[in-house]
Amino acid sequence: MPLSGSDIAWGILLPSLIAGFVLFLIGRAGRVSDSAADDSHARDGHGCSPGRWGVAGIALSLGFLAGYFSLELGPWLPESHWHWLPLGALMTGMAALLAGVVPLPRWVKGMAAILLLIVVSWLLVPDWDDLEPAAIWYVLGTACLMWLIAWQHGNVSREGATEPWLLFLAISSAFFAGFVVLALSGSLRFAQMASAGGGAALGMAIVAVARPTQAVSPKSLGLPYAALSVGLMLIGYVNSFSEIPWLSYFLIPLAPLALGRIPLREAEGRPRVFRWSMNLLLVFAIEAIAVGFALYAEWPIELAE
Amino acid sequence: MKYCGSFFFLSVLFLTLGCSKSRPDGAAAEGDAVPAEGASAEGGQQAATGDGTAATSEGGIALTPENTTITFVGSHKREDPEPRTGHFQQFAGTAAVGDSGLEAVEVEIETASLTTEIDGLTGHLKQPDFFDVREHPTATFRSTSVEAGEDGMVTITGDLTLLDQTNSISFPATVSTDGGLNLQADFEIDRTTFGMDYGPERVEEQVQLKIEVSE
Repeated sequence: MPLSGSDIAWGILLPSLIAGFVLFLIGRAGRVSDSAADDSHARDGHGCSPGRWGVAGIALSLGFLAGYFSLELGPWLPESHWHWLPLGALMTGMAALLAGVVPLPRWVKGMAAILLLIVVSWLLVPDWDDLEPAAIWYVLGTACLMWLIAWQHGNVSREGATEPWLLFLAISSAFFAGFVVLALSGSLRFAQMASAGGGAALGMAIVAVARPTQAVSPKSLGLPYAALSVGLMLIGYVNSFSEIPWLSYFLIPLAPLALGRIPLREAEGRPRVFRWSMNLLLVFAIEAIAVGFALYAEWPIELAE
Repeated sequence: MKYCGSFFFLSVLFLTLGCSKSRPDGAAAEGDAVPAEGASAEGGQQAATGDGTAATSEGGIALTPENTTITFVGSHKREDPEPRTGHFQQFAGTAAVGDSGLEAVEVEIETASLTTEIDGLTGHLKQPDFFDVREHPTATFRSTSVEAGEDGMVTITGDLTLLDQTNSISFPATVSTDGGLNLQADFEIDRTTFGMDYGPERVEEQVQLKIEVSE
C-alpha cells in the first residue's frame, strides 16, 4: 500500500509536529511543578523535576490523537471496541502527566496504573460471543502485557542506559514495525493509527536531539506507550483474517524494552555512537523477527487494494 | 529475580493467547441450512431443508446462493481504477410473486461470506476498514414497494441495512415471472452513507451492486 501525500502529512508529520511541539514547549517553559520532591526524582537519572516527567507521555498521546482525528480513522464517540483506543491514549497520557505533578506514594500510583490498564484493556477487548479464548482472558492478558511494558519501561529509562532520544526513536520504530504488521494483517486503518504513534515518537526524538539540555524525561512514556502499542496490536489481531501469528503482534511492543539489555561493559571507551547503535540494533532485530514472521505467513504478498 | 515476575506474566499471557481464535470463515459447509429471517410478503414462513435450499410458502420464492448471485464492484480513485469484484456466498431471502408479478423481496446476507479474487483483498474487506464483519455479521434488504414499469422493468424500493445503518434505496430491475422468477438488477450505492467511509481518497464512494436471480 503506497502512502499518499495526505497519509504522510496528516498521519506522520502532523503527529510528529504536535508531539514535538508539546515536548519542546514544556521543556522550554521549565518545571510544571516543583512541589513533589519525592526521592523518585533523584532516581530519574535525567535531572528532571517531577513536572517534566509527565510531558513525554502526554506528548505521545496528543500526537497520536492528532493523526487519528485528522485522518478520520474513527468516530469521536466510541461505538465499537476499537473506537476506545483514542480515549485509552488520552487517559493514560493524562495519568502520566498527573503522576509527574501529584505527590502520591509510589504504591498508590502503581495501583492506579494497574486499574487504569485493566479498564483500557476491558474497553478494547470485543464482546463477541465466539471470541476464543474468552474475553476475560484477553482482558487479563492484555492488561498484564501493558503493565509489564509500563513497568519495564520505567526500569529502562531510570537506569540511564539510554538517552531520551534513543528511547523515543526505539518507540517510534516499534510503531512503524506495527504499521507493517497491521498492514499485512489486512487493516490499513489500524496501520495508519500505528504510523500516527510512530510519527509522534519520531517528533519527540527529533526535539530531544535538538534540545538535549531541556532534559525532558522519557519515563512517563511507559503507560501511554503500553496502552497504545498493545492496544493497537490487540485490535489488529482480533479483527484480522490473516495467518499472521500472534507472536508478530505482541512481540513488537516489547522491542523497545531491549534498550540497554546488552552488557556494554566491553564497549566502555568506545564512541557513544557505537553503544547507541548496539542498543538500537537489538530493538530493530526483535522488530525484524516479528515483521519477518508476518511476511512469511502472508507470502506471497498480494496487493489488497 | 526482578524479571521473574515479568517472565511469569509473559508466560501466562502467551499461554492464554496461544489458543486459536475463532473467526467466521463465511463458508457454509455443503448441506448446511441457512435460516432466513422474517416472512414473505404474504405472511408465510420459511423452513430450512437439509440440502441448503429453503422451502417456500405459497407465492414465495426462496432466494439462495443456488439461484441467486449478489455481486459488488468497487473501484479505485486513480487513472486506472482497477475495479475489484466480490460476491457473497451465504444469504437467504424470499421473493414474493403474485398475479401482478414481483410484489416484494427481502434478503439477509452473512457479510463474512464475502469473497473476492484476491485473498488479501477478501481479508481487508472483512475488516473494520469496510464491512467489519465481526461487529456487523449481517446485512439486510427489505423492499417497501415494487413499481411496475414497461417491458418487464420494475423499480424496487426498500431499506438496505449495512453496518447497522439503514437507508432507503431504489433501483431498477428487469423481472420476468413466467415459469419462475428471473431478476436482473445493476445499480450503485454510496457506501459512505452506510458508515463505510474508510479511504475516500483511494476508493470510490460509489459501489456497483449486481443481483441476478434465476429460479
